[in-house]
Amino acid sequence: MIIPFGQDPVHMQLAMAVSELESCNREIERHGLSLTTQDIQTLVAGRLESLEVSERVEFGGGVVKHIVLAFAGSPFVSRENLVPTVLELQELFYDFKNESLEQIPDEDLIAKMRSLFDDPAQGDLTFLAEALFEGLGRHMREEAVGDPGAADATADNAVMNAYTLAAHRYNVSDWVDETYAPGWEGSSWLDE
Amino acid sequence: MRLSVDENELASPEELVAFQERFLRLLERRTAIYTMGDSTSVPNHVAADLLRSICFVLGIDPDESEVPQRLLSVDLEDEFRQGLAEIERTVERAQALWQEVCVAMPMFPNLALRDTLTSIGDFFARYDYRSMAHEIPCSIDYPLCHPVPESLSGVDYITEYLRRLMIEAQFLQRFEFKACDRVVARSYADHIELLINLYEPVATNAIGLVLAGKDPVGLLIVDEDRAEIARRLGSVAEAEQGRVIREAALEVCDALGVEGRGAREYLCELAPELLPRVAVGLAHGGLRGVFVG
Repeated sequence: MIIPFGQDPVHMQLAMAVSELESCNREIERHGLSLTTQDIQTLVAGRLESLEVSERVEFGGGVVKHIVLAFAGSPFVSRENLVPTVLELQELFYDFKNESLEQIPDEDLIAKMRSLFDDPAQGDLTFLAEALFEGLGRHMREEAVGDPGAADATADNAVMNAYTLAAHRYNVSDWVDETYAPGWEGSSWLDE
Repeated sequence: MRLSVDENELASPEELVAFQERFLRLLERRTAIYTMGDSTSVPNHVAADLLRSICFVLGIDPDESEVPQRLLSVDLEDEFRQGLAEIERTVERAQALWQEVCVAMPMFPNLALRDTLTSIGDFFARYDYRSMAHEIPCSIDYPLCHPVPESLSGVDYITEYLRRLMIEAQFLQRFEFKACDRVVARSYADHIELLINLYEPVATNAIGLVLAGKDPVGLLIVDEDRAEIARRLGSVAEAEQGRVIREAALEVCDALGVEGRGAREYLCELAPELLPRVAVGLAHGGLRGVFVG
């Protein structure tokens, strides 16, 4: 299939993303943070790479601006680690959108990621990722397969229409396992 | 990418950029509607489906680089809305046609036919023409005598399928049910569970009876009829046999009162399909496998 786009639409979106990130500085300054031109270029490039890896398409400036604004106030984000943290959060965000079968709105997911990032992850991105995927992801998949009123689990989710999506919105807060703790690295009952 | 406008005329670079921008805005907006504003991103395959859907509504073939001339100078959003409205009307007409087909089709005990008619009924509830207009969310197992071209999609495919099915149903109505059932049962080992077309053997026998110089309405063909068919077709050159069969098909239409041009052409299209079967039958001593009795 020939998609009737050349390079210009990609440049349009890049320009929009740069513009949106530049506008973030006004808000994140009060947290002692700022994004240089180089930082912005790095984040925009990282966004493209994350989208390609996660096999997603994004319009407009994307979600990166919202991630920057949401996490700027975290006590575990500093001037030094802002860009690498946002890059990793962005990647985690897109991966989780795939994992959750598109059933969590962007806003809710970012809010929950921020909440988990501060506590119990204490700024540990690996912990955050494990908490998200192990806890919420499993619960979403179980619900999607087990609910007789849900869409056909074998159907291509791409064809779920808006009405079906609306019927299966979940309150993210109900599912995240906030008591999650990393597995004990010692022996388990399987070892016995 | 070359963006050509009708008649293989290339669009100017300015036209290309302007069209791309407007198309991208339309795609962005439709994606936002699809996600109900909850997500700025979608999986690649969802974006591809939304793109195909937009192309379907606008009348663009996504596998070709040609864009209708009119789209270069119109408001795409407005054009899209008009396209959706037209599709909505097409869906209503298709649903009415489906109901007519359900009434017209004789109650043959063929599972594929029954399940297909049921599934098409569900299509109208499942068809999301606002986001996935190119999709055909139903199972169509019953094979037509002349299949719908694969180039059609969405409600256009369904409409054409039902149009052809109606032609077949109205043709079958012209015979006694028992006569049709006998022909079908003698044509296939299992005419209930197999994916077989019911029109084809009935139409074939009707054409055969005309070739044998008899009234097609009885559908019963005996050995003497096959002998006469073999004599008649064997007496003309192979190149002429197609014309003879086609003329017989038109005689069937006249005898049964089939007046519609589409229905007459549908029966005549059987001629080229019968030719190779007739050739094999004539070469191997009998037409029993072509004209059943």
